[in-house]
Amino acid sequence: MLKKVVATAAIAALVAAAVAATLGGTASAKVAKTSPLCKTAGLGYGGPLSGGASFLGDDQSNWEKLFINSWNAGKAIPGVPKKLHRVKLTLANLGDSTLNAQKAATVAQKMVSFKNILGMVGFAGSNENLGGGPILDAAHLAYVSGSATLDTLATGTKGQKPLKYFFRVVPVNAIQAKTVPFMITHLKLKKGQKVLVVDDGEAYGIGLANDAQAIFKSHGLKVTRKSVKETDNNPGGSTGFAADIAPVALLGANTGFKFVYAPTQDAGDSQVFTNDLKTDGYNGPFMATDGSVDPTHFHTVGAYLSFFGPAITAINKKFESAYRKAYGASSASDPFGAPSFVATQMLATAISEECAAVHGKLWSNLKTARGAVAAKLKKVKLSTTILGFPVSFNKKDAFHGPASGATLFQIQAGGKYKELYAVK
Amino acid sequence: MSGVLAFQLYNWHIFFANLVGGITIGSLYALIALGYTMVYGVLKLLNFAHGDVVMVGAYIGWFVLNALGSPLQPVLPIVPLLLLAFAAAMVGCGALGVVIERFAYRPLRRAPRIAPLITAIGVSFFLQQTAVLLWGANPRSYNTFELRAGKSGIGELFHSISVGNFSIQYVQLVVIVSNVALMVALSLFVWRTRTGKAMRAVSFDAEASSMMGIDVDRVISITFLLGSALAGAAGVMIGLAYQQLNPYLGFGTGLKAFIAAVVGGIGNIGGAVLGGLFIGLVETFTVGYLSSAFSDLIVFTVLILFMLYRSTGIRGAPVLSKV
Amino acid sequence: MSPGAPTPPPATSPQIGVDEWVSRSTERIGGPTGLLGSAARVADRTPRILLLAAFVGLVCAIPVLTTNSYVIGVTADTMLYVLLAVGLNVAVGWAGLLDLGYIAFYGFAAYLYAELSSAHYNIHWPTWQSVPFVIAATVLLGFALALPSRRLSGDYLAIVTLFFLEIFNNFTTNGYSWDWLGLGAPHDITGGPTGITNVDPFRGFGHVLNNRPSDYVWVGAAGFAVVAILLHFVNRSRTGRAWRALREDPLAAEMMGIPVKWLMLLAVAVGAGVAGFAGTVNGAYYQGVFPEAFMFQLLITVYAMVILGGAGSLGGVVFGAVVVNVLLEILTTPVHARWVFYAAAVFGLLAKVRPWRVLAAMLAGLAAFGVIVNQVVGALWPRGVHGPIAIGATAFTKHGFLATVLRHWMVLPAHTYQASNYKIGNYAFVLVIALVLACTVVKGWKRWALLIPTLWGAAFAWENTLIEQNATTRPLFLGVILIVLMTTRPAGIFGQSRVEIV
Repeated sequence: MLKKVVATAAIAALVAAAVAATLGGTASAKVAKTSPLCKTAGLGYGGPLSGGASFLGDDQSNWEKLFINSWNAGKAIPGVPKKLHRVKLTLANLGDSTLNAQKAATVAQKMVSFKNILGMVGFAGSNENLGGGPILDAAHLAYVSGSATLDTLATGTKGQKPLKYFFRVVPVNAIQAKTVPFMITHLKLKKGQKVLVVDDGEAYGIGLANDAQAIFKSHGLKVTRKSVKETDNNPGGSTGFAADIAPVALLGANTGFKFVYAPTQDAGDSQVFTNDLKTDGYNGPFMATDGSVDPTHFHTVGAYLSFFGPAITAINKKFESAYRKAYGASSASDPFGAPSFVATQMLATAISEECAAVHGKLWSNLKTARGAVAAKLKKVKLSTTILGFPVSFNKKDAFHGPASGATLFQIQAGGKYKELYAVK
Repeated sequence: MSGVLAFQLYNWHIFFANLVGGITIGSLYALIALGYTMVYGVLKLLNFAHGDVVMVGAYIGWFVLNALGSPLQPVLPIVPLLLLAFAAAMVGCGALGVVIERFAYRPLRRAPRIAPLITAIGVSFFLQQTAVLLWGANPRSYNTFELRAGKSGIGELFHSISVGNFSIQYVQLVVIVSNVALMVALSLFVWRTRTGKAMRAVSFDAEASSMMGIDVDRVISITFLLGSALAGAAGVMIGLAYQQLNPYLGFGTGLKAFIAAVVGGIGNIGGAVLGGLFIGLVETFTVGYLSSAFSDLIVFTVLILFMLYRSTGIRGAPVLSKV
Repeated sequence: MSPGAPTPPPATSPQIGVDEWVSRSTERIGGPTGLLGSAARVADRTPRILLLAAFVGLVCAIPVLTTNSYVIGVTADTMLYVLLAVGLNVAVGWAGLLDLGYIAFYGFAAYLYAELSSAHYNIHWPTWQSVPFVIAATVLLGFALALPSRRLSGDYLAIVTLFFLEIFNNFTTNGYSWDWLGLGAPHDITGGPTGITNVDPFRGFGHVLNNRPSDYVWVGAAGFAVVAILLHFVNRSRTGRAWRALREDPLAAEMMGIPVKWLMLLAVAVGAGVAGFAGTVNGAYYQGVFPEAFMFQLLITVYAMVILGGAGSLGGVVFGAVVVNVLLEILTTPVHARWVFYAAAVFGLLAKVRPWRVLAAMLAGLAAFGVIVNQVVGALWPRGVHGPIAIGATAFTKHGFLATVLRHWMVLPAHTYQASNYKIGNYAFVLVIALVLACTVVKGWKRWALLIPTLWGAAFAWENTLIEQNATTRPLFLGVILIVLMTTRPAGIFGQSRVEIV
């Protein structure tokens, strides 16, 4: 009997503690009079932290952590003026949306319930923004993505409302596709010649492939379009990219294609594809896009790459080695990881500038505070970043996307990239 | 599209290359399907975790290869290097299979059929996530394309032997030949040794076998050992031929091999081989001539058609159940 | 039964000459003891309608008691899971069919609702029209799937339904440029990888249910009440009894004249109907449907809920759904998550370790072990014990009771929360698995002795790696639930242990 009573009491106490801890995070809408948000502001992250694409989420959130640590420690960061008074930052919530739009909605609800979060880096996947974006919009919380490239996120389409608080530091697909006309001229492709376009079955690859296909067609070239689904993000999918790409590689080899264009988000896939093409006897030109920018995983000499920004391998060496030291060797040069550093920088700058501007004045509530940060964000201009080029938001994109162009590179021996052309 | 299709039908070297590709992956599916089939035979259990054992084997092979300096500066010549990778993967996965059987499936020998199935799914999840925890979710590459002994332009394994327009890669030969060798070895074991005979007896009637003095527990452990060792070898071959590893590769491959086992007649070793080749060819030809989006759809539809109209598979015999 | 005597284990091995009634007699006399037993007996005596009213009342009160939209959102999610679990229970728990394609019905309903009430095709059916239509369509789909599979048994049914789910996933992901074998222009049926967004919320009687998530908590609770009452009556009817017969012994059932095949169809169809309703609520609540929301991992989560609660028990699966979903959400915040582990460990020890002398000895041993290890490591390697305890420190744990305990009991290397240090935690994790397996092998006092380093090691792995990498811990936790439940207590918490007649 005594044991039962003791046991009941213990369990009730633990349950109550857990419930209280959870409910205790009740978001009171009022910000305290002394504006503590300008002393310590919170940031969040939303993206796939588990599941097949978790390396993407880990990478991006680690770069965000690296920024926050460096910022708080007062270290010199490219693009941060020395005079700027840095508001201390904490990474208040890591939301795991597993590239699932409906989970992203739950993550978004949790994110807005933190009363110290003024901005979020994410969502990583375009779908996740479709699912979780409206909830963040309703709370006026700005979210800056380092990898969502679906063109219509900020502008909206027939079936989709525009996401007003969505920003991104990577350009939409249409901008990268502008390198294709240059390639046609550069390779002297003539009317009637055959081109192979292979997409990766995801919104990223399909969008780019569609744009490129339209350009090839308008130049009179015959396009064969294939789709090989990238399976890392879909564990229930087919056996493996490599097994599926082999027959497609055969097409390239033996049917007289003059050019192969393959946008994919995984550099390893591009390497496998070019290996197969080569062993099957195809020695013609191959072009991949920014998802394959990764010298460790894709290094086929002679292949072409399009990228947003002037120089791929110019990620600031100091930060790259700091990243490797803290988080392990593999993906410091992942094209989708380092932009999250820049995304965090944009948010941090916006928060600090806004706090400086309203110093002494108080926000009436959390929603107003967040809205003010988002409004300031549109005007943030970074003179340079660890990526090696300046970043600001583009007027043409309603200030939701970056003002950057695209560049075309060719891979040289030794992992070096030679710039061939820049889209203005 | 139909124009391209017609063109390809007349293009025999493409057909041949697709054929070889189909046989390569088909023999891999067959090897993995053997594990499924043997376990089903003795335990009447569909071991969903088998695909993840393949994944573990692939990772073990990766560690061995990288520990010995490949691909850029291998410490050993290619052949001993690969043999060592195979041996390590087979031993490691065999041990893993025995452990899984002992702790996850043995307590459920008498439970209703739903229980071990669900446990198998739980084990599969557990293996996947432990792999993510230990090794990270970042895909890794075998990089054996770079593996070269000497200064040749393309990696040794991916050199092709060509007769006119028809060519086959070394790595494909390696995969097909090792698969055949392993399958022959397994057949010899099952049909010519006493333990093999015990395995066949247990798969026919476990209770009667135990009354005949056969140690059923030991036989089942050996079945798992063999099946998982084969899975480990298949994992290394997947790494060699297809380069890329990630903790989730077991799921998709396992599913396809599982279809192969069922289509060929589950419980039947020859059926597993036939089923594997069949599914591999169907998949490769679909990707080659249609689209990879359809390949999954078509393979799954093949399975469902078999299930509905010939549930015992290609080689399975109709099973009479005594009331 | 006296507190000291061990309870006989539920009969899971066939016993010759013993029938179900006899083998369950010990259960009936003694019943489950301890806290759970008392709770079960109280629940048994209460009329079901009161339990239902209490549950629904509690759920509906949550949006009123708190303004934290996250908590209300989790409640809405949980109601969706409850509906799913109850529907799956019909096929798996009551009829004994392993239906691995259940989520395809859920997804089909959500997509159909989205296509009927969104800008995708520009049709905007009113709710009272679309919801019944979708439910009817899903039931028909259930029949269509079960019809050709009616001759299949057990494993084969599982395979066919699993691949039906895969086909469905394939279709939703690739159905954005369906061109009917080359004739005519490509049609966008399912929206492809980007899904269908801007789906209408429920509307009726002049109101539009736009106040997410509170409105959908109430919709979910009301729907659940109706579904639960209907299913309860179905279970108590002839159909329910026939399902039970089918579950226990299909052959005997057939010989008694029960239309086995028709019942199988009915079970799958009823489950599909419940999933259909849940699908429409899903579409209206999230206002968007996407292919990755209806995949295999969701199926495993719902199965874990049903198995944990006890397949076959309506109240049990509701309990399972609530517990699993709430735990998964708690595990997303590391600071709260650590409580889950310690609560589970304490609860497990209290429930399983008898008599109290052994329990006291174990707790003392555990404390001593931890303190000794802490001191030894601290002496040899000072940085090893000065690591931080909480991430994003809150006052609750930094200076609280638990923090003080951990500081002296646990080894926390200085750079615990950097990725390079996860290695130590990861190796500890593997070691703990080995120790747990060893614990199941040894018996008697050796087992209690081995349990001490096992528990400490588990806490070590928990603190050092599992909490921080909680995104991996959650699926790991699901897998562990399934394995542990199936090997130790296949009936779940509230289910009835099944007896196999030889």
